Amino acid sequence: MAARHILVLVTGDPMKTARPGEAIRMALGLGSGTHRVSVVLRGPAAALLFPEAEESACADEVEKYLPSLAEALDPGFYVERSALEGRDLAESEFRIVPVDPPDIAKLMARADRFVIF
Amino acid sequence: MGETRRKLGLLLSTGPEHPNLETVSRLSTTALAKGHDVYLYLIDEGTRCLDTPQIAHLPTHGAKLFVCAFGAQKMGVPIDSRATFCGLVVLSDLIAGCDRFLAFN
Repeated sequence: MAARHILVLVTGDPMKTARPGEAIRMALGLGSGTHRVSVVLRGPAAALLFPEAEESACADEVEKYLPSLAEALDPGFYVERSALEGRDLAESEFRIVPVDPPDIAKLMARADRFVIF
Repeated sequence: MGETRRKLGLLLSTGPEHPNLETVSRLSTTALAKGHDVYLYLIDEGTRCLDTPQIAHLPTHGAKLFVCAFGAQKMGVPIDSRATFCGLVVLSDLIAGCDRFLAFN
């Protein structure tokens, strides 16, 4: 079967719902085979990559799956630039690629499949 | 001339209270009626839709129904013969093998 480029776009607030954690688990699962996975975090979902995620509604998923997913992502997590305002990137242990909405549109245009959480 | 038979993959991650359920059900029913193959994967809160009338009737019309076993366990959905309970490898295969794939989250 054909390998696909899958874009997982996460917009949920991990401090309020566990769904962003499910998106992370799914992205890892989908990327562990032949597919190439890209992850874009928008708005409050950016919190997944910062220390407060340890206190989030999906703290377990962050601890279990995020490090492995991070290793699989090239060049790293795409994060909407406006969601990073006021944050110190050095506080995150993950590779972060700031992107603007036009960049996200280009990423979506290049992907074969989308999963938006 | 009839339409070419195509494979439609659907992912549903929201619960029965979300309008996505009706959308997925009608989309599946329409695709099946037109002779297409439908592969539906329920994940996360979507596993709670398994026993809804909108989803329960789809296999009798030819839809292939898959349920995330991890999600079902988390949501307290009993694992039995109502559907194929499986892991993300199956979702990965659906994404690869279907002509169209739509996610309802």
